[in-house]
Amino acid sequence: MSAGTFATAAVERNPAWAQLLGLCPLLAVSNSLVNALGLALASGFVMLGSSLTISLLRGWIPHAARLPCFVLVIATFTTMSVLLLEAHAFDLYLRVALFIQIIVSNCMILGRIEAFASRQPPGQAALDALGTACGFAIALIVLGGVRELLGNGTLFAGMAQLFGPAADSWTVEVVANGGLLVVLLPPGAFLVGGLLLGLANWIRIARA
Amino acid sequence: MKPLASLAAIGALCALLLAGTHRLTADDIRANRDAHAWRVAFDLVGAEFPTAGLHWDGDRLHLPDGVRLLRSSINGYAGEIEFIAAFRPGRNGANSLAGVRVTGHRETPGLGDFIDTARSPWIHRFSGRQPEEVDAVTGATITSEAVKRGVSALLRSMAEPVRSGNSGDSGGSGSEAMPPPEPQQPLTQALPTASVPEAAARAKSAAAAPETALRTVWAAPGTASQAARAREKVETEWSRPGTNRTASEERP
Repeated sequence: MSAGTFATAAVERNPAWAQLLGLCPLLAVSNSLVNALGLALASGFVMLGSSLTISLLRGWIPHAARLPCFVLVIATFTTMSVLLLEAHAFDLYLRVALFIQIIVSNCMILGRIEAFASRQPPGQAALDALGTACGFAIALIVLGGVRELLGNGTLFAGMAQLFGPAADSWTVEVVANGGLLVVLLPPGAFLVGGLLLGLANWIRIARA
Repeated sequence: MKPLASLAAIGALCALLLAGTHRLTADDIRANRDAHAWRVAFDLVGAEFPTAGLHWDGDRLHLPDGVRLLRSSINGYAGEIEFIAAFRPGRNGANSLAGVRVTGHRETPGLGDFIDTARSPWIHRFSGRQPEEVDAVTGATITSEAVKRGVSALLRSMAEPVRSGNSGDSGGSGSEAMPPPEPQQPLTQALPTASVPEAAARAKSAAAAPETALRTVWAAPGTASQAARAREKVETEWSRPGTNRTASEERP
């Protein structure tokens, strides 16, 4: 049951490719792997924290005022993640802060809390939150990786922003001197995102 | 009534969480922001300098050697472009542009982000030139022109005499009390005016406690002669070969 909750949330009901939720930050931030990873971590933190909190408080949240309560808790965890990021990964913060702040309006988180965390015990809620966060992270990392590879010709560039100076040597230059600029620009996000969505659908149909 | 009470209770809980996080991160965040501003300043001046006792006065920072750093922002293609410009006092009181660095922007990645030194050296073209002489970048003229406009505006504002209360950028007090950098007098000329033992003593004291030497300049902005004398201290300390400029302050 528990493993099933996680896997269902992460793969079968993948927030991005199956439910098409949270696409705004997904498309906006996924122009490099490190940005994608930063957003994935922050979203996961907010997802887990707010799911657990809501699940623990579920007996006290009045039905009539549940949405304000949900948004309040999500906003709190979002602000906490912004503060933590600014304190511990400042370079990354400079690049993705704007998108971290709009996690608060990410319907993926509000949707999972409304549909699951507010009705389930904390353990289940945490598993579902972790699964959803992992699913979102997978979508972000795949999209970010493909876009960085096609657009910039590199992989893992700038990982030092997240993991410290030791990660400077992680950069893999696959194609020298860049690639297709359009892939890094917003249209590229839609093109690559659409192709990946098609791939996900194809796999799902082939498996069924 | 019950929904309101629950909402208030949850609000209080959230406030507690936020306050706790703020307490835990405030110091790191301040250090990060300061370090970032200093990194930009070092980059602009071309050397690391002791930062103890120096602090931003609103949007201005006066360095001991007469260089002034000004922070400003202007509307670019996609929101505000924040930048810092360095001005060096030149002949006849005119300020020459020593350099510009963008500290924050939201320009299109791949097209408008050439203003960031991480992407392109374009912004270096402002050093020692008039902003009008810098060519715009094809495909991103709005971004280019915005930076040029912003720097021009700063240059014009530098040319005007500072009137009390007109700046609107002074977060603290004493921005008007800051001594003007006396552009006509090159710094090295200040040295011979002091007698040799006195200068040596000063140099020694400056070497012993460079932080205090710097702090006296900026903590007590007084007459121009005081400032000149204090600058001379700093100059003495800085110009000596082998002086480790960063040793006095371990801030990264």
